[in-house]
Amino acid sequence: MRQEATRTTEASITIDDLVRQHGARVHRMVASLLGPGASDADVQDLAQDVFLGAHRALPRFRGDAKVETWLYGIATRVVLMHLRSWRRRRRLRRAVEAERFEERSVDIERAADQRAELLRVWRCLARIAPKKRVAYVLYEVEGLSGKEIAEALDINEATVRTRVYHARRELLQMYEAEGGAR
Amino acid sequence: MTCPRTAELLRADWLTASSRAALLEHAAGCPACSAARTTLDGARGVLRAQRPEPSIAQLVALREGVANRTAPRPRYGWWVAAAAAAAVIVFAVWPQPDASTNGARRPLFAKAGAVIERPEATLRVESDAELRFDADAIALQLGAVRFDEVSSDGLFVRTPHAQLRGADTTFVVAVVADRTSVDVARGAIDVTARGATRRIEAGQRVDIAAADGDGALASRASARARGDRFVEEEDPATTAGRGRGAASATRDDRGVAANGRGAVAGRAGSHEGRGANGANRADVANGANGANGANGANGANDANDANGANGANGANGTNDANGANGVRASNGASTPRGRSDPNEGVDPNAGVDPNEGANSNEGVAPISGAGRDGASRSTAPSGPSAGADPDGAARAEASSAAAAAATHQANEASSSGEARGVPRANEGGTTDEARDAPITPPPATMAEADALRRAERYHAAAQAYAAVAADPSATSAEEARWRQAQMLSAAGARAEALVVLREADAAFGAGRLGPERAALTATVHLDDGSPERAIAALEGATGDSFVVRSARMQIATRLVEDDASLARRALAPLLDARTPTALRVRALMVAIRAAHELRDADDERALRAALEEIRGAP
Repeated sequence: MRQEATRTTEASITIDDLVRQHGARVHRMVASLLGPGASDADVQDLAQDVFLGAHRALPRFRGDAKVETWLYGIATRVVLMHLRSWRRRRRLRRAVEAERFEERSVDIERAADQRAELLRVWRCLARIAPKKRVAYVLYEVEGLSGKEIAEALDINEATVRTRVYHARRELLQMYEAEGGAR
Repeated sequence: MTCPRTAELLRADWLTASSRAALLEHAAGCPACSAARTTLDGARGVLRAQRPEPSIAQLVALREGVANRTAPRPRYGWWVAAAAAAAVIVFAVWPQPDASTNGARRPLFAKAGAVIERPEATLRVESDAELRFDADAIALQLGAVRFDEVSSDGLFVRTPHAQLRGADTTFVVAVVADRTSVDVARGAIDVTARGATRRIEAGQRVDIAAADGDGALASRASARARGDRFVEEEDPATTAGRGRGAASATRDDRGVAANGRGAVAGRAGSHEGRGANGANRADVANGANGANGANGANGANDANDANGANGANGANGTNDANGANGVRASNGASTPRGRSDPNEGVDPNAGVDPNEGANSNEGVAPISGAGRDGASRSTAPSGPSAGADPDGAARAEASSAAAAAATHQANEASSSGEARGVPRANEGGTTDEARDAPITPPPATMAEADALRRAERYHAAAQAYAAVAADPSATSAEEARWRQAQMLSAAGARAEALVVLREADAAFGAGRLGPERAALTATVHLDDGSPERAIAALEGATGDSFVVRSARMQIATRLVEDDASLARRALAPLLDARTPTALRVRALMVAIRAAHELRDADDERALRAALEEIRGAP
């Protein structure tokens, strides 16, 4: 009964509703998944692609999962497709690394700035395989549970754990290699 | 990782409660595990704290982008395919216009800046031009065109005053009312005018029909216009020219055809007469150039012209030696635009052209003789203005300038279809609507403006946003105004950007994008070297938002070394506990520097304490 009600509700959703309700979150999530090396235009384009994909998939949306989870799944796939190009990955990585020089050229006080910390983390994250990185960001940053990530990515929950574990391990190793935790 | 249990720590989230508690207890005492935990927690904290929040403008853009891309589009499906296939078939089987028929193609009106790719050359339109792509040539009626990368197969360009042939060359052709100018940039071209051909090499320039050009390629002179009856005269040739013109010449209406086309022969005839007369070649040229009453006047003084006129009348077959006939002949030649048909004017073969010569010859035998003087026919665009010039303004000294003016006047009158009721019976089949239809750009859309912005074409983007904002039906006027100011600022036009922002504030008040405008105003002022105004703009912002906070941070960071007190003032609202932690930390860092610069030890101490408090917080 409850399931049926959910389906009825979801069936009446329009793409405009989706954008209004989840636009900010999807935009933020795409930006999080791409990292600080991504341009605004890239984030904007991918966020639009997510909703475009949702628009196409809306007739097939059965309401089995939460709309958020469903949208996360689409967003993740869109970002992963985007990152399939090694040129794009290289561009993102270089954008993050390019900022390092600027950061080191300023005085010591600003080295403690959060931006520098963020860049440091992302310099490591950018070198992790996209699939693991996406699982890590969804889990650690977006706060999704393993089950939600598994639903969104359409994979086993154990696979999610493995990916998060490997991402953490690689992050830790690279972070230490970068200069260690402060 | 030197401790074997560090790996266990990495999957602590999925351990049972008791296992996790034991592990954490171990981690507290193990330096390796403790460091690993601190690192991972720190990374997570940084990533969470600095999650990029989209601005309102970005969300608006997202909504509009999705709406545009998901808007339903008409689906024609098979109908489109069927229509396209039918069009292809019709195009394939439709009889192609005979190259020998004059003006089978429609003229093309190209705007300055247009680039037309053709197999034989690339045409770059340098000033608004009227072109026609005939089967064998490109006819440039008016305007300036650069012919780039002319192929080795060659190119044939026809203007009202000359014919140009070239291969593997680059040249510029400019056609104004009474002359054709040719500049050769590379290679060489052959210029033919009035039967004479000259080779123009790279770096050379030639004016055809210029006042002081050389004899073969340029001739223009003053002429005295004396006849004054011609304009008012009504005669069969005029009537025929008006009524049917060239279009009717293709029908089996010999008398009319002769009249309609008679002007060609008539002009030729008049030239022959002049040639025989040998009197004043300049007059002849002017008569041709003039395209006005002066021509008729010449005719009036020259019996040979009158002969030509008779030739034009053709069907009349009379040989009335007066100027009015000369004019009538010209009237008969009225071309749709009030100018000479380039094909008639410059083609040395015009006398035997099946469409022209034949028709003319049918009516009047003497005219065929006129064809002998091919060169003389090159300057014959006189008819229409004789018909169109209601008061014979060019009767007095018909200098070339006046002739050009009269031509222009005639063109205007003819274009409006009021030249003595002469219908626009045009050889190219062009209708008034097609020729005069204004070319107006389509209304700008937000998507186009966004595309320009992303391409970093700031001025163009600013204009496009302005157009969107000016559209009364625009739903994104506020955003368009803000974007316009943003583009102007990016383009360095800061004063204009501020004006736009002020206007937007007046129009939209606090509005949806009030904070964005305030932030942009502040940035523009800062770039302009007015930090006080920048801060004032932020302080005047209604509400608080991420963009305003970011702008404060940006301004403070830029000012901290030069004006620490202003930086401190800009940061004050960011030190509030309600500010997101990441931003507050950054603000505190800069504020500490500002306090240090100001040598305010108490303030610095308090700020450091606040910073430590955040760092020490769980």
